[in-house]
Amino acid sequence: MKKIISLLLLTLFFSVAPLAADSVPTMNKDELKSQLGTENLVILDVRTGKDWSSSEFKVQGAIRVDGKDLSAVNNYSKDKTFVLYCA
Amino acid sequence: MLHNPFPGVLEMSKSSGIALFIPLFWVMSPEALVLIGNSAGQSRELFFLAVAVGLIFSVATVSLHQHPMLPAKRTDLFFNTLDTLGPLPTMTLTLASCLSLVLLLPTGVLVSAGFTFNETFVYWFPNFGFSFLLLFIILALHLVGQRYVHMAQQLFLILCFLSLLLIIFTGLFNNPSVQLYTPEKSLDYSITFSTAGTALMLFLGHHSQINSIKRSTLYLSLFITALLILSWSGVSLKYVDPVKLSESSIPYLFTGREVLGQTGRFLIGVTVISGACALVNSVFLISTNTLIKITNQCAISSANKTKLLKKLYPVLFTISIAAALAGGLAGSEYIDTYIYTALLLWMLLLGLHCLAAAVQVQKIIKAKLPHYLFISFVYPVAALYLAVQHHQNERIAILCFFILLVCFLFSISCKILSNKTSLAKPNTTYP
Repeated sequence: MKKIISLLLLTLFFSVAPLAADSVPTMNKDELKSQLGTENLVILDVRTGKDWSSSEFKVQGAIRVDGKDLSAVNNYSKDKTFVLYCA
Repeated sequence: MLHNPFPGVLEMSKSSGIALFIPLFWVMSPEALVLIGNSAGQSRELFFLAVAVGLIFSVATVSLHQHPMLPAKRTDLFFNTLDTLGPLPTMTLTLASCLSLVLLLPTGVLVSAGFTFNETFVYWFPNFGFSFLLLFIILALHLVGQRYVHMAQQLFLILCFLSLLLIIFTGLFNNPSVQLYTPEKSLDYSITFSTAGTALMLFLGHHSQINSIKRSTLYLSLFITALLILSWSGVSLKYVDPVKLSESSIPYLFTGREVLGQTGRFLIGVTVISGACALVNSVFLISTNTLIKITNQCAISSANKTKLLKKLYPVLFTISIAAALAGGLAGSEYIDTYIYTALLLWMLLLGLHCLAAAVQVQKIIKAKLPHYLFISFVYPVAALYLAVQHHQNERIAILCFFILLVCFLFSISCKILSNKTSLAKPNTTYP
């Protein structure tokens, strides 16, 4: 019985997590392009490994940070728009 | 009878000269082009000298392995090393090098090819989708038959070589639109040894072909490789700022773009994709043949199952690489370090082969040949130095240790298994 409850809780957690992630807005490239250069925009390039090194396209003005450690955002005021570029 | 991982290539070499280009699968790969660009940018003139030294060492290595006093059966590097130095070190290092190369290098270059296809040619085609497509095309070639593997390999190499050549010739005979300002900066000579080690690494592809290509062809191929590296570096330094070259993860793209603009981008796209295919195809072929030798030694398989194993191993490689791609290994921040580790293990293996060949030559001609022993120590010393100098040396050490330990345990099991089944001793297992 305990095992079944644990399994159910785990399933619930993994179902809820993507729903929570869905609440983070996304931005397509045209929207980003229209905002490039504005003072309020901070682009954080969180790509790692070959995702970053093989790509020709690095967004101008993007700051490369480790996706596991976003403490770099503390250097900016909270009214800025932060865009995490992950792919 | 030479053991030939590329059956028919010797016959082909007489008619088409393609054998000259077969060893270039490594130096024309995206990974090698990054090494060339970074080293040229960092070391500039010193890199040219390092390439010349690398060429000399590589020629000496080939002359050692194909020494006229060595009987034909001892030109097979694996069997000669097995017989001379024993099964444990031979199988441990061969397996470590083979498995790390076949898993890590293709994972890296296929992703590079995927990104290149997406960003250069077809924006809507998913980059990883293209990586998987290439992987399955290579697998399909190996399942259909070695004849198609070799035909495709010729196509990949020729496409890659011609694309690079076009950029090189254009770059050599034209001038950049903007003259590069090179500030007065003295070279940092502390990087001399690491530059030399990197240059040595660039010729590794030739040593995997020592069994199958005659000496004069290999020498010529080495010379072509050196010319290719030097001319590509020269053009890169002419058109791209050395600092940018040394720090970039895609230095080849900057060179192509600066020399020929959008056409250069497309040519580089062709180079990266065909270079990736050539590398994966070659690594599959070399690893399949190596593993067949190992598993025959361990009595896990026998010679009459070779045809089946030539199809089975590529399937296993594909599953492993696909799992690595799907699991996000390519996105790991340490993937480049893992690939570098595989290259260092390859250098170590070459050192072991050189040692075995030097010991055999000395035995046969009954004289001390310190210069051959010196060659055999250059590779492990270079590999060790490069490992220590690397900014992630701890990670390299841990990974090397782990891979070697696993392979050592397998080798011990193999030895026990082959003793139990009472196979013939190693020196009678030559093909």
